[in-house]
Amino acid sequence: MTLKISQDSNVEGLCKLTIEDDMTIYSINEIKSAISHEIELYQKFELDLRGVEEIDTAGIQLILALRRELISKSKELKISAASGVVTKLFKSYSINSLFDLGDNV
Amino acid sequence: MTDEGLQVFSDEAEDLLLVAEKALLGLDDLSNKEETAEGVNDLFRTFHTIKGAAGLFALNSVVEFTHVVESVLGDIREGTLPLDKDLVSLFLLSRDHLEVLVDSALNGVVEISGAIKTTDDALIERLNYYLGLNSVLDKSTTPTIENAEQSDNDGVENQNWHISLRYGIHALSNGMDPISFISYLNKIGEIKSIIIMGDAIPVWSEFEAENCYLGFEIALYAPNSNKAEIEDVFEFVQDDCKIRILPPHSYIESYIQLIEQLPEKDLRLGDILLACGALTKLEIDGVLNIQDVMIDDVTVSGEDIAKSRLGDIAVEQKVVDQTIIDAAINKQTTNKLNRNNEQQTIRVNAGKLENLVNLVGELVIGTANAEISAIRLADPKMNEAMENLLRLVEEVRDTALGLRMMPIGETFSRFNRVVREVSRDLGKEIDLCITGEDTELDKTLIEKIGDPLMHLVRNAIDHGIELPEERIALGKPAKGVVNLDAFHESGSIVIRIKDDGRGLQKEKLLSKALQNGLIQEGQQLTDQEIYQLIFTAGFSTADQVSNLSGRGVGMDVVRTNIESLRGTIEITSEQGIGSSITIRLPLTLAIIDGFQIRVGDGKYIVPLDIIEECLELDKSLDGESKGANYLNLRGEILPFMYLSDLFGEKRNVSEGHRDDIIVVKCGGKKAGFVVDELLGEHQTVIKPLGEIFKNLKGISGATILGSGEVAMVIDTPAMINLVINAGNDQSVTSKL
Repeated sequence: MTLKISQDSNVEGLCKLTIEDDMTIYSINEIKSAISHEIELYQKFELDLRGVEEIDTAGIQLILALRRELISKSKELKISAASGVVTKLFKSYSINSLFDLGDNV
Repeated sequence: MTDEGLQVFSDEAEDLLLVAEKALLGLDDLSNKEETAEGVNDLFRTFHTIKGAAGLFALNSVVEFTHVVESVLGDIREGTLPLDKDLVSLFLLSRDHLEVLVDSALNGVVEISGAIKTTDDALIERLNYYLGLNSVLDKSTTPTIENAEQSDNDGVENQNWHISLRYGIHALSNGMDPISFISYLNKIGEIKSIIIMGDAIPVWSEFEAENCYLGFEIALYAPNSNKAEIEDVFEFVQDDCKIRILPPHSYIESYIQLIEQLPEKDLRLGDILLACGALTKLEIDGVLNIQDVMIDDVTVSGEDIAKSRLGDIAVEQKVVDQTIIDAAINKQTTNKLNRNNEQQTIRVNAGKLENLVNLVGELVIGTANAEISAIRLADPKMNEAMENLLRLVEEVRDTALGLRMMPIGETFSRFNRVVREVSRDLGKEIDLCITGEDTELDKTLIEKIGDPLMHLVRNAIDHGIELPEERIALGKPAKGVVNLDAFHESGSIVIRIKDDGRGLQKEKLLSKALQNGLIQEGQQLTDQEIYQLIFTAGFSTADQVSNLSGRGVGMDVVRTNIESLRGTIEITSEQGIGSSITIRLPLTLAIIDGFQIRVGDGKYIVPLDIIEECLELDKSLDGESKGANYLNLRGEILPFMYLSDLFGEKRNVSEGHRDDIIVVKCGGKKAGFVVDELLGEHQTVIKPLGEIFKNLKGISGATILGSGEVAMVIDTPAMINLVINAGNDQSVTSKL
């Protein structure tokens, strides 16, 4: 698992989270604690899941939890890009519409 | 019918019927909702499985009958029919009838007739009464549903299965990814819609990413599947997931119940069910109408939180409390899991097992033979290899015998029913306390001990325990207690039946025995001898002959049965306080650890487990006892006997000959056997003696030694009695 956190220089308060390789139960705690730190610091978040090669329900749950948390704090979460496996799982759970993950992402 | 599948069905049905009986008996306390719900679930599943299996073999009589039982159970499970004592009794009767049906179906009876048919009809009529009652109840308690303008009176419009899943917190870390089950559902049907329920996800700071907080509401279009098939999908995850499945066109009440059971807010669930297509808007309104609450227009947004509180329909309709259901479901899943574990066994033909044990017996003899040759060769390498081999053979022997060992618990639990029924018939209140149900013994023994035990338990209830009024008058608690206990003790298994009833009445026994001419006037008997009278054929002290006991047959059969298993039976009793019957049985019938001795020219085996010690017989002491055959063993009186006398061998009186005495203990009695030589341990394969030797006292079998010689196996309990009695006679003669 690789997680890159970067601040968008163009948009104020936007944090880009790039997760690569796997987003499964094996790495989920690591991802969670890495993100936890950032939640307070930014207003907007963008998830780049293009490089995710493996994702399971734990990964989905993490995204759902993050989304809930941010919405409750009136912050924003967007998925800017997602790999095929991510999209597929989102569709299996019928939550692709929640994140605007269309058919052709 | 020799079909192998049928045999499996027969075994399985037998097991399941046992489970059903257990579950039914567990339903004693109907006020305990948790246990009751669990019991009903167990029952339902059991009957359902029987029905399914019987269907495979087209045993129609079984299927038809079970179906009715299952329907009634289904109603109870859904909460639409209250369970009462009458129903429990009816189910017990149905279970028994089912056993008969299964039997007759297995014997090739296609169409039931005669008495069976009559029972069948009668039971079905009674069961149908409850089914009819249920529909009446339905109408009376939920009139509002009809006002809800349902388009379909039989159920909701939804033609899909509705599956509610709430995963347990450890599902993900246990490797149970929900997606795999959901993908699998797609194989048996088509998932029409799925809604992921993240309501239980805590706030971020408390969110543990490895835990699972998710639930799913799924609409599955699978017109060709039954509930069991869908349940099976989740078989492996039962422990980690709460599963609720509603068939297509379920009653609207089922949905109400579902909403009640699910942890999320009712209104939100209403949305979800609507979104899933489980219920139409009209139906949802119907549900909410029942609750008599106006609701705002609902939205399907995941984050929408209920705006208005809903009337608590469950309380009004007396639907079971959430915590109870949760507990019940939890328990039920563990139960099912246990059962799955139990099923991880292989059924082996008893004949094959028998064959294996016999072969192991031959192997033991073979190695003993090899050992003798090895010793003769005196080659260290050979001896070492032999040692190793012997150890392994011993292990193989123990394992092979262990295969035949079974816990006695199943036999014991059968008595729950007996006690329940007999005590009810007699108007007595009795608790059965079972301990040591894990004690293992040979399967053959278990099978043969069942009936004698049954007799003894019935006797304890019938003759032992007094009526409640009597007990209260005597200052005892109204409820009598019968204890069933099993444990291992020095190479034998002990089964004890104890009651806190009136105890054996010696006077009554004596007068009855006099009357029957079993004893003579003025004859002096020890307590033990008096008690043993009850095992005499045709002896009964019951003033009234009930249909349970008092006919005077039975106890003698009990004794014969137990003695045929090389067992002993012993009674202790105290008037007014209770009596206890102790049965001792050898652990196994086939192979024992023996101790080899020589008497004269013959070799004999004594079971090693019962030998307390071996010592040299002090000739001077023997001289003092002057043939009285008593020995002072560290201040204890030990009766002993020269085995050479008994077996007609010459006593070795030559100078310098050492006599050894082995001290054996069995059933609390000790005795000494004087032998010529101690030869050491020997693994003994007991071979039964032929018919001719049937009446031979003191010998229980024979074995073949490594050298090919035959050695007799000493029947220690019988021999000890012989020694003690010989001592008694001696003392009587010396008095004269």
